[in-house]
Amino acid sequence: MRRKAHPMSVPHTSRRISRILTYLAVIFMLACMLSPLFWLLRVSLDENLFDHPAALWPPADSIGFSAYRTVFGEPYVINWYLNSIYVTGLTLLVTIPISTMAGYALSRYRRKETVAISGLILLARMLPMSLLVIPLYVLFSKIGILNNPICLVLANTTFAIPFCVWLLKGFFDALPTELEEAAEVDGCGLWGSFLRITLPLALPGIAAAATYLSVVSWSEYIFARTFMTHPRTWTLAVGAIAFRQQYLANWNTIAAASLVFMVPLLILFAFLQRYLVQGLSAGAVKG
Amino acid sequence: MQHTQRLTRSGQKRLMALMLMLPTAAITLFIVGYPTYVIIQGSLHDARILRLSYDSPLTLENYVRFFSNWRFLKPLIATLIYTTNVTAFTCLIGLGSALLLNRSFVGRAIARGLALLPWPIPMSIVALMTLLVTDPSVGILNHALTRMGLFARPESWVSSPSLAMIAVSLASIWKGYPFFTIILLAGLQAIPIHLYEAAHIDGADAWQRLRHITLPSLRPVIKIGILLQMLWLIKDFTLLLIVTNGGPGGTTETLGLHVYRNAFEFFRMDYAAAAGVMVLLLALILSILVLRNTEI
Repeated sequence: MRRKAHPMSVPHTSRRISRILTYLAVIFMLACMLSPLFWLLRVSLDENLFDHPAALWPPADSIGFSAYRTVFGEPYVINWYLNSIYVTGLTLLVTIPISTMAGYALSRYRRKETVAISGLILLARMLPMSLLVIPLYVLFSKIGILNNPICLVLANTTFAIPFCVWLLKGFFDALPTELEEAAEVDGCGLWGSFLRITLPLALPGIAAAATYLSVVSWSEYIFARTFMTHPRTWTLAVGAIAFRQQYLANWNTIAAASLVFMVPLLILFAFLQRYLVQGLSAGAVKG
Repeated sequence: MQHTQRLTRSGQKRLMALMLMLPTAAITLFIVGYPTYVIIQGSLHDARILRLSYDSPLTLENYVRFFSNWRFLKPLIATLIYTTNVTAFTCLIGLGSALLLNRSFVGRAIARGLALLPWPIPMSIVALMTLLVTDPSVGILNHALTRMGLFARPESWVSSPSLAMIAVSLASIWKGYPFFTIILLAGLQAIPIHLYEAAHIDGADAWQRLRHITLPSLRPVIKIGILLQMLWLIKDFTLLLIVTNGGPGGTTETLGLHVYRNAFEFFRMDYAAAAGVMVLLLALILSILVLRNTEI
């Protein structure tokens, strides 16, 4: 965006050719990457799927929404939506403040202690999930918070923190320190200059971290499946698999469920994705 | 006088930094420290169930089991094949799509949004889509390949020893490439414009600009991306668990899934713990290799 092509010396026709090639490449890429989603939609709308399984689009008299009615007729589907929203929202509420704080500290104060803590954070990223599931299950059942969304919030937080802290640290690195120092001299103090000067400037970075976090916590499956034992407490990611077990070869219903379960996040992502690129480019990717 | 004032200010700054780090450090320690302790304990005892303390004596039996009869070799090979292939292709496709989507053309914002679409889809739903797309009777992949004449008849991908790994890898690449697109798009936008202007004056063509400016500038981002992606693939087994559960014949059982199945299917928690410690070591070695000269 900031960088503009400047092909003044390039002949007109070769510019046209390169533009046509760009469009062709984009269309080819999107066709490849979106075809599984297209197929999901096509299967979900086809009420007589096995009569014409290879057709690119079902004939008009086979198209219907009965699969979608089946999905929303299932008990607990509304609970799954609410649980997913609740877990994602709470994860954002917990993780954003603490990873912003840690990212700022790592950016502005780089000494033995902070480097040790960042090593610890990176270690958290390496631990195999299969390892954590068992001890955490034991721990959560001892405290008595099994089936409580709090366990998922805790688990999601730990797994998202390394990336968020890295992203925000890079973002703070790119912010000039002069403003902060001036504010500090003017009597804002260390905390005041952080809260009133730096934090508002860091909003694009925070939005980027929030996008990443929403995707991670909406998608988490292994912990949700292990810690949430009652169908009422499941999230959509777990519920989708339960649908598969219940409907087996009934692809019509499974496809409809898959589509409607991913919709809220796709809408959210459509609005937030540009912040992700902006937030990352401002700082983190400079290393 | 001035000296002491500076000291107190740096002391204040230090205190503030530690206070800001405290919540992150506490949560990470709580979620990571306790389980790690429990797992290392469990891996050194004869224990079907993990506990905080044991009466039985310490033993290396579980580690011996992991290495005897080359038991670790099959999951290790599956992990290497899966991780390297998926990382290589996600990185290449991500790079290609980022370069493409960084050009200016009408409708670029929409194209970007659509190209990134697989990323926010939950892994469990990607797994369902994999089963659907590779299904012998209703899968689009089978229809397309038979129509092109590459397949004689539709195949059941997930139960075929040669196709199962390809099916899960394709799904993982599809879900994973937008992550690279995003960070590389961000990286491209962070490259200072004057580098390209200088190259233009020197008469560099598009290929030379890519080789000598774009790729070297993206190097640190690609490095971090590859590390994060590989660690993620070693650790996460959601897709494999749902699509193949390690089958057929263990060809898609990566180390992460190997640990999980031993713990929850065969109830050998102690062995699973020992295998898990080895996975952690593998991830550590990998990170050290990649991050040797980088500062995080």
